[in-house]
Amino acid sequence: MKQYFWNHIKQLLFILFIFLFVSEIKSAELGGNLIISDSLVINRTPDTLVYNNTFYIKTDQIYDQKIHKNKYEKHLDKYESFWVKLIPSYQKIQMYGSIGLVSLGTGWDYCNNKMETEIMLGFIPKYDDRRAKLTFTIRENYIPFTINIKDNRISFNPLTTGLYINSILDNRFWKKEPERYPENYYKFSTRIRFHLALGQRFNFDLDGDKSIHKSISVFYEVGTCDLYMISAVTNKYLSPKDYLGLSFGLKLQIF
Amino acid sequence: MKKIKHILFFLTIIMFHSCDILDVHPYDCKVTGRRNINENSIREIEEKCLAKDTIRYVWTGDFQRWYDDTNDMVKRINSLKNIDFVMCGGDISDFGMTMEFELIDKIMQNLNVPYVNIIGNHDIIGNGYNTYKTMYGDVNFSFTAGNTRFICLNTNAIEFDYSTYVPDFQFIKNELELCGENISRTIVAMHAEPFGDQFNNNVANIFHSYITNFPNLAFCMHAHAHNRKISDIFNDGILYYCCDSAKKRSFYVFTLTPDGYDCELVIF
Repeated sequence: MKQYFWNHIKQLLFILFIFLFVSEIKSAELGGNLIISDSLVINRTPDTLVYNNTFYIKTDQIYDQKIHKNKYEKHLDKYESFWVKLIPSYQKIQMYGSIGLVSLGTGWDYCNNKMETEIMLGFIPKYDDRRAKLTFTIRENYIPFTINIKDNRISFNPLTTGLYINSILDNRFWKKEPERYPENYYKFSTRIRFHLALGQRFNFDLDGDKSIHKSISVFYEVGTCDLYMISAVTNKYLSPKDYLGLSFGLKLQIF
Repeated sequence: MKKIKHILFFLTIIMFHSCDILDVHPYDCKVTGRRNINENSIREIEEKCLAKDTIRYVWTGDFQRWYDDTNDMVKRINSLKNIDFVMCGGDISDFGMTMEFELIDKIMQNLNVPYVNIIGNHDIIGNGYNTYKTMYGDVNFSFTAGNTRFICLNTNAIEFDYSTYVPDFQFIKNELELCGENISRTIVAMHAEPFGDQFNNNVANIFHSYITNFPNLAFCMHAHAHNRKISDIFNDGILYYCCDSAKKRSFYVFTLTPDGYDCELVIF
């Protein structure tokens, strides 16, 4: 124990000696910072000397990472980390899929990228209606499998499942029947639609030097909505193309 | 090479556009099938019945998602002889979705005879009103088959506010003025009957007394109730014929002769 202590003193004295008398020592080849017992950080500067696996450093290169934070700083850290978690991790563009001709959305990945929650804004052109319409979608995806192809640069999801709720943003459509109707007159909502979709997806990792996105995914899906399902289940006449809809699009991964 | 890529890209877009499986929205009002069906049918009916003194037509309605039954009904109507046209009393859709209108027209196109369709309350909800107007035309219309004038009216008052006239007395007034001497009989068809839950019942009596001004009003026809019923609603001898819904698998065949008319029930 005594010897151990003495060794440390010797080391410290030696370091101090170096710093006192050596002002310019050329740096050795060692990358990054050296962290000792997760709290002591040594910044590697061009004048850090490494000789025979021993570091010769200046005292101003040593600082404690566990900086004491006051109440305000602690709260700020917590506050920031909360909002950072809410930054969406991807953007999405989709065509068709019973939520609009083109839909733009953003979302969050979690559970090892197996779950996704996203919000989308869809656009329905005027067609033969009085006006064009917007729709809003909240969507939950579950992607159970990932197959890696080509050094993990390309991956394939053989099955993607999605449940989504779509609301058409137009005052002619009601969530609940207006009061002018007798009770339970129509028994459904024209505004809110529940959808289910199954699909597949290819993911391509992108080069950070050339692209602003981490990866890009190409997907397609086949889906249906509650009212289509009711029509399909109660009739033999309907063929799949009457109640199923194809959609396709791109998912742009930010981080 | 770049040009070929561009061409391929546009071809794919066009291919997807023409593809049935791409659905924009259940209420997109994107009509890909026939338009102005009533107008075209009326032209056909009027030509066909011009010199006829006996007219046979079908009165049906309320298909509301019963596609299988509607399909069977079309087959049954096609098996009947001497039918001149089919009149449908509305509610061809259940949710007012564009797909429903197009599916029903696809089934009805198999008819050997033209058909006209009156707007029902289910055809109005959402943006079904605009889909109806695109596919079938005006909600109030009339036509002449032989010497008989058919007045088809929108009576789904509860679906509208007061900015839309339901029933449209101005239209009825114009029709009264239009009726010439060649008209020997009038039949009024509608979706919802007077004193029903859809009708503007404040004017039910006025409506009835106004339509009795038509030359020789024979009877009225309506749907909406889903159960076949013949009632003398106003106790004045003018009968209101209500057809079954497609689910109940029956329809009426009316035969108009110079002396009167005959009503048969066909069960399929």
